[in-house]
Amino acid sequence: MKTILGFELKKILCRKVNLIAIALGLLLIVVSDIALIVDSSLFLSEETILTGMEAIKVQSETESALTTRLSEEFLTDFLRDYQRQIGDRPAESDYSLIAPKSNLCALIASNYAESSGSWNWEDLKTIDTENGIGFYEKRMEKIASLLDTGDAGGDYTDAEKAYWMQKAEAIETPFEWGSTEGWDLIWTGIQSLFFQLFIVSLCIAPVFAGEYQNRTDALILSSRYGKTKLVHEKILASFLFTLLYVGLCSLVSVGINICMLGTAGWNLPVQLWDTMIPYRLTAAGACALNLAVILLLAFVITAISLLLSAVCRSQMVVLAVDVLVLYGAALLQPSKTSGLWNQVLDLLPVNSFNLSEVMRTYNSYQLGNAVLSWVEMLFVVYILITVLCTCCAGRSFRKCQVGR
Amino acid sequence: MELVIDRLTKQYQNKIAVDRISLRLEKGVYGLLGSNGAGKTTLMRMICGILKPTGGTVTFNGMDVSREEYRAVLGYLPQDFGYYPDFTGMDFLLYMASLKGLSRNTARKKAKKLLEMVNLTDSAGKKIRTYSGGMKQRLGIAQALLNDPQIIVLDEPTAGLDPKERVKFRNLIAELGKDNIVILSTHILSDIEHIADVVLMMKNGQLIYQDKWREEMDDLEAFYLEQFERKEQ
Repeated sequence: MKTILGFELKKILCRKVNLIAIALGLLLIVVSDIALIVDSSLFLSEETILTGMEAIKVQSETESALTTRLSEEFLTDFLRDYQRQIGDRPAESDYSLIAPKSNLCALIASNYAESSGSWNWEDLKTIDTENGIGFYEKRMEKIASLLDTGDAGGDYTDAEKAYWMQKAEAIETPFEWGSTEGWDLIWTGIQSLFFQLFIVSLCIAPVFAGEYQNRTDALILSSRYGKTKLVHEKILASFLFTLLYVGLCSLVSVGINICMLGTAGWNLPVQLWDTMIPYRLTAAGACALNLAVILLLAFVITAISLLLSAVCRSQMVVLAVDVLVLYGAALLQPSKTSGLWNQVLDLLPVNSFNLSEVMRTYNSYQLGNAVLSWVEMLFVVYILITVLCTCCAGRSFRKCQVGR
Repeated sequence: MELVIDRLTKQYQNKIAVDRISLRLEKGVYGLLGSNGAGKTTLMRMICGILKPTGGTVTFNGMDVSREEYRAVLGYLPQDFGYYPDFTGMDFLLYMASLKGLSRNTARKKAKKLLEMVNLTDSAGKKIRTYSGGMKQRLGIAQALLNDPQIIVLDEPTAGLDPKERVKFRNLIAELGKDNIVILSTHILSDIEHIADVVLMMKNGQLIYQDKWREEMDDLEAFYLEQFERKEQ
């Protein structure tokens, strides 16, 4: 069946519209990744603001020089030192004390902020250092407080609270510090791949609908394998295309950043970006997980496109529905009273592709006694949708009637 | 070798497109005649298993039309069929051959032979989008014969062909009819006159005439009109 698969891939890849869309998609990745790097800035003082690669380089070098474990002693000494130097002056009056280590200062300040997340540099002056700053204790207190007061998904059940506390406690402390600047940009770059999913939809839309529209349905359905192996091969070719395309996009996006910024910090914990993240992952692991979610979303869109392509027989309908599924959901407003509605909204593609948001949120789904995190639920729901839509698409094409 | 069509019916809401047609077809060329909307294409689609009948059955040597084994012995040239504009003629035949279950080597040999037969060898490497209507029709005929089918269903096969090609294909169809069941639908009565062993006439979904074509019937056009008028009376 390699030949059928090869021809089905050729059908997808030979369409001029698809080739143009793929080329534009890849160009968009290159431009946006380079723009992210060029747009980076480092505020050292009123007079000195570094931009682009220089900003990233200086920030990375400063943070790499600090490579250490963020023990309670280290953090207490670090903060005492800062408080001693700044004295009673406003924090903004001598930004040079913060600037080179702004990421570490931000990490400490945000750890002591309320659950709402707002903080400022002045907060660093008010943290009590006399008996040690209790950095990790404060982190766990914040998590427990968040679980007691509820989150966007409504009040937590005891099972959910236990689940999140267990996850949070499993994070290895003290955190190892280092530069994660490059991986921060890689992560942002990966999230922008979400906009490539429209190209997946565009390329997959004609897989079945194209046969009706080209009037080749009669020929292929009357052939020996037209209602059996061909359907499998079409589906396989579609998923293979999606895998290859998303793989290529990821390679370009991650490749550009790694070539320009290096791989330093790949093994550092994601808690360096936000101490509240309850997932035990490294920077590279978080990026890989986000890539997996993007790929899964691409599979969902592939499956929905295949189903619509087989049922509606029109490529325009496929594209219209896919755009609604992918981006239209952004127009739906979260409810202030219905947790269930919000939990459903969270599973929509536009709310789930950005794992840096998803991973900072303690949204969970309780199914019987089992508790699933938002990330786990995404995998369950997306795999189910993919399998269901794919099966229905195959069935619909097999049963299709020519000249109905 | 026997293709049995038993009380085959297709109804679209209030319209009966094919009305309880029963036939037993053995080796030979069957010429299917009828005005537009008579139900010829609908009948052919049901024989090819791409349109589900409302009632009745189609079987070949006891095999139901819905089975893969049935489609394995079927060659179909639909009327006004589509193609893949970015495929070359050779690609198209190889693709169709893979759908018909031919091995890669057999497919290549068979495709070459058929391209030669339909006089498309020189254009085999060109994209189908550059083909003329007649070339596409010849390519369609070639694909229908890739799997050496025992049931050959041809819906308007000579449409778009020039007179010389038409004669050539007429002869080919007559040759195929010696060992296979060929069902041929056309508006070109001379095609039927020359090659059909049996003439089938349809009107309003019903079979109004079925018999062997005999030279003594003389002029098919006159005979055809006579049958239609007789039915109307």
